[in-house]
Amino acid sequence: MQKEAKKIIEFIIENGASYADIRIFTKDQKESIQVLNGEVEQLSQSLAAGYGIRVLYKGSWGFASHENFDNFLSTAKLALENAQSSSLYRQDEIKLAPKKIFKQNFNTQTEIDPFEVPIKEKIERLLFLEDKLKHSKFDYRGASLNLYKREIFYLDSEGAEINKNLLDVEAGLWANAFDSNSQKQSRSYYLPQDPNTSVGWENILSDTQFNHGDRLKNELLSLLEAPKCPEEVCDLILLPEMMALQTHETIGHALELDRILGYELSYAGGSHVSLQDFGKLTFGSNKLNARADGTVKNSPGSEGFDDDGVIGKNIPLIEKGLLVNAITSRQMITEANAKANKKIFSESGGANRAQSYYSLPIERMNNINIDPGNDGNLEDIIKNTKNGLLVEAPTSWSIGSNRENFHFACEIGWKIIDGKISHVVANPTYRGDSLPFWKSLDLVGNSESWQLQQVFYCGKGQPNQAMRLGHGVPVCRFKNVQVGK
Amino acid sequence: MKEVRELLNSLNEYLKGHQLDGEILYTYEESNLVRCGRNQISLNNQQVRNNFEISIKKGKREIQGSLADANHSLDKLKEFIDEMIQKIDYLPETPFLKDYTPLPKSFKSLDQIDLSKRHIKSEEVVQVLKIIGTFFEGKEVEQSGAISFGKSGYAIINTESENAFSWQGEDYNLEIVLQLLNDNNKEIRVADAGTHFKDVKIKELVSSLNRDYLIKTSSSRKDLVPKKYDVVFGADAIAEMIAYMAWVGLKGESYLFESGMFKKSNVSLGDKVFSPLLSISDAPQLFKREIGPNGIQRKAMDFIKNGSLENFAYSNKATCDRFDVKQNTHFGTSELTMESGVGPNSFGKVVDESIEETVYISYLHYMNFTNKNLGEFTGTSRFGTYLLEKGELQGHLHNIRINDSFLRLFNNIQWISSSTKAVNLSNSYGMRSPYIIHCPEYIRILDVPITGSSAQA
Ligand SMILES: [Zn+2]
Repeated sequence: MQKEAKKIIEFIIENGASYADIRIFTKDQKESIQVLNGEVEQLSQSLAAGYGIRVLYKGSWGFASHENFDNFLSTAKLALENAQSSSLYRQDEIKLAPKKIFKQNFNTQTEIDPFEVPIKEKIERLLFLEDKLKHSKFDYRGASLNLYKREIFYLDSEGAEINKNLLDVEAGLWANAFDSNSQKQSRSYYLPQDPNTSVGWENILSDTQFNHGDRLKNELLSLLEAPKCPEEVCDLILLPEMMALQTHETIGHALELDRILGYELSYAGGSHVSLQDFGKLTFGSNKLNARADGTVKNSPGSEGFDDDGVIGKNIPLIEKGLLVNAITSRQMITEANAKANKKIFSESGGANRAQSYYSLPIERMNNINIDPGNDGNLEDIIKNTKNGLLVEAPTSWSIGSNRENFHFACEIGWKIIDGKISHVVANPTYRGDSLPFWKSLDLVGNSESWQLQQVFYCGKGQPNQAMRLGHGVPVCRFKNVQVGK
Repeated sequence: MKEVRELLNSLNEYLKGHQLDGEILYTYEESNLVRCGRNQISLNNQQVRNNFEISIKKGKREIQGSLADANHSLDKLKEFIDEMIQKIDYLPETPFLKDYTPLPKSFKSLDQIDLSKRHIKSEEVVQVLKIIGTFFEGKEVEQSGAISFGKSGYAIINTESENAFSWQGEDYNLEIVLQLLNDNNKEIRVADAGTHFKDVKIKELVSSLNRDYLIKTSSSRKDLVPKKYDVVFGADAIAEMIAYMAWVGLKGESYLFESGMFKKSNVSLGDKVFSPLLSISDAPQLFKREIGPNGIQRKAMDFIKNGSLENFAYSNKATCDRFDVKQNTHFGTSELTMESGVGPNSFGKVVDESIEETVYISYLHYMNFTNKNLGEFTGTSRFGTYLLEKGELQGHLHNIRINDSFLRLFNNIQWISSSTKAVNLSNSYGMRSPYIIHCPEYIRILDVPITGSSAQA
């Protein structure tokens, strides 16, 4: 098939295209298990294969995909035809920034392949973990496991040839119950990854990584009697799941270069960041160091290479609060530099990614991480807080179309008074304007508090693409935040 | 689709031959999308996909599988089924599991693809975007947007039935956004949806954009003090609110699990929950999918009639089995229709009749629930936020944030306009499947809490 793919790429170039690539998913496999109240709610498996062909013709893109491998040639012709019709409405020719050519393989490191573990064993483990959430006051509890395996071959007209064997493990635990006001309260937990270990069934067997039922149960019990989060301005401490969302929505999406240029305007929106801001804009306090790191091990955001065939890179985005770079691809940096009339971006950040074979790659987060700081662990941060709110687990998020403001709701909050956790509060919410919020960052937790969160459904683009990525984040504190409103 | 139905019939017999129960759903799409950004085409896409979703039930055990097999190979599908059968015995029993519902005794498979209208090429779609761009050339606007068009369909059979049902149709949806570069990057938008792309009225799209362009370039932008305002919502905003409300309020699954706004412990059918002006039904006008992709017959159904709860939509078999309730529709293929009223039927009349201070919101961006149990949500306005008073347009506003609850909002309706519009709300995450809400063009709601403005950022 790889030989045939080469021929197809040659055919497209012979017919006038300046660039072409093909991504073949020889295997796209998923297995899901959901258990609910001690019973199997769903067991499903899926299998697909297909390919997508991307063509650059007279500076415009065309793309076509198919699942029938006998249709290589007609799909290539259609991709070319689409690029030709795109070129009828074009202002600036799309040019791809130079890249280093690789002929390489990338494999997720794993200890126990979860697809090889007998179904019965998987179900038993989930039921065991879910059973810890059992309580007479709770009405529903569950555990879910989604396993993904993809075998991808990438080839382009510049000579890159990349084989990927990717494995992702997504898992969660949850329970819910009615509180004393007849309102539903929930606690959930999603499997994080650890860059120092591996991705596989071992994650589900690990007590530290996934066996969190007892803790969730106790937290949910206290939520049932908890007062509502008060309306006030106080210090806000974000635990890793909440920090991941905050980073995702107000740093990640705001710094996608295609979004900054206006390509996402009609759908997802724009960005309050402009090309003039790089190297100048104070995005946050001097304790803020953020990066787009495609090299973090064991994250669904690290795939070795992006779908431009660019090798994974670790790119600082914000250094000591100063905005220095964006989430970038080969196309967009050329376009941005041309528009700004100066060299803002020197090379692609390796963040052009597609959800699947049927989608065209666009700029996506890989791992948008916040560097750990020097303000101690979670206990130290709590100890240093006079009047604060500690929150975890997003339940709702709504963000302004230029990512300039946000409103988030969380599953659980803990009121902090005089350096101690005083009590649990229910339905915590907080809101803010993005830049003032990041400028109010005053304590950044150390590496002990840093955790690699997984995200499996980041939506962007048209047709919509649900992307997998990661956020390595420490616990952080923000001064004077409006909560409870 | 005839061949697919025959293939499904054969697979159905294969399952019966193994003394197993089962249901097989086939879905496909040939979906195209041309997208525009910065006044040029940014992508031009075609995706062709297909999928066979198979459920197999053996006594009280059930397993699901899905296979994308472009060749529709009977042997490959049988092999896949065989693999599933081997795993089923390892599953624990699920005591409440029930049989599949037989397809209705008589039905008509339907092909809503108009062969008299020729195949659309992406070049024609590019031209539509170009025409709009050309109209605004020299006006310092940046055009973005997307036009999606294509075919999709499905077929379904289960072992309680003899013959498969199928439906296929074509649809399009589009949205165009202009960013006004010389006017603080203000944005305007137009959207449309329907069945045949050839029906798109380019002139109407252009004149709608031009109306907003003139408002935004000739009136001053004001800031709004956060407090309660009377608000007129446009069709796009209404459709978004109806969809969210339906999600948290009308789905039988959330009623049974008590995870939504209406819970079986505190609300019953017949209860008055909203203003008597509000009626919402599932009344297919464009896509006549007689049987849903869950095998359940879809009849026209009232959900809210004059403010009273008439029905919940029960689609999901696993949930219905758990609570011993019968599935009654397929919510994902519903065509929700909100009844029109006697209020103003054009933007001009809305302005004329806005004597008191009124905020106009055309579109809601990034809605989300802040508390599902209470039906509380938030979202920001986008594309057209205007201030109306004394029968005149006083100016346009920064995007503003709303924090409200559907229970309050839909109990405070002052009037509903007499004209309606079809609003596209399908996303393209899964396979193509048209999802349209028919709703009034305008609705006036009293005392809506506006809690913030993007001007403060
Ligand atoms: Zn996202």
